[in-house]
Amino acid sequence: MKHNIRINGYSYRLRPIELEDAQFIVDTRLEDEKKSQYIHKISPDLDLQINWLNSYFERDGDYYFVAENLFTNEREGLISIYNTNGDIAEWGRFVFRRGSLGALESVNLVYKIAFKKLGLKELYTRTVEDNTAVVNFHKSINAKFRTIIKDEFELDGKKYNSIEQYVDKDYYFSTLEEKLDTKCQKLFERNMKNAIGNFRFHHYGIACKNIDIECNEYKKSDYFEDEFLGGGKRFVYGF
Amino acid sequence: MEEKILNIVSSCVGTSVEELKKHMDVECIWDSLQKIEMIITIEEEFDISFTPQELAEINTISQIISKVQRKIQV
Repeated sequence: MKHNIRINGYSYRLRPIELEDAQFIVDTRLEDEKKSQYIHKISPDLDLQINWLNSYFERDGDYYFVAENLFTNEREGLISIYNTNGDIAEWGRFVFRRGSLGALESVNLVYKIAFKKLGLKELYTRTVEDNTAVVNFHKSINAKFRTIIKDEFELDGKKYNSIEQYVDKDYYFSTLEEKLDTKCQKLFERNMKNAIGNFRFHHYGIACKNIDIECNEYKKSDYFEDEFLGGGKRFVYGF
Repeated sequence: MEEKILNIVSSCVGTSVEELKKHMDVECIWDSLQKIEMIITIEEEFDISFTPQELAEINTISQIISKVQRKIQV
């Protein structure tokens, strides 16, 4: 559906998909044959992708995002929340460019969108049983196992079972958010080091007018008002 | 150097070094979360940085070892 949900993380942002992303979708989903073997094949025909996006824009409860690297502003991946049913939804259409390290933070951002912005109580995934790397990824974040659905997917004429795993809001806020945030912060430090050089961080700062409004996505350990910034601007540190 | 890398992979993937040695050329024995941890730890340990192109080419333990070797020699 057409939505306007945007969220910034440490190194990546999620923003709504647009028609102009059609070629990126095609290129990304067709880039890596091995990784794409467990997702529905799409046609390299750009017009078909544009048609698909036009029908997606009309579909309620379907939120398709592009993940962009905040350091380079380059698009690196795709992720979606869909099949919304009450306060439960599925997430998927999860594909990243080869060499991207954006998958983890994008998953974290999708959970934040689901539980903080959309008011959902549960997000689940259905993964082809043979796709062990993705099944194990969900296991590694302690997503709970719900069921195996026999022959749910048909890819290239072959049927596959799917594994349904889920994360609920309580578990996300009590345990998972902090775990994922910590890893994203570590990745941010790595990316920052690559971007501007080799030194050790002891704090990060943001200058802003209203900490609660502008920095509500960040954990603040403390802040101080900076007289040099003027206008009551504050300098937040310690995410 | 090889032993150090194997120890890092072992702690990120949760598989013993002995077991990993039998799977040096097996693709993607890690998930995306484990890969990020592994890459960050290896970069810190050897004070190197992988480019996105190099990251795309890292799918096996042998590939990590050869890339680190090449970077250290430069």
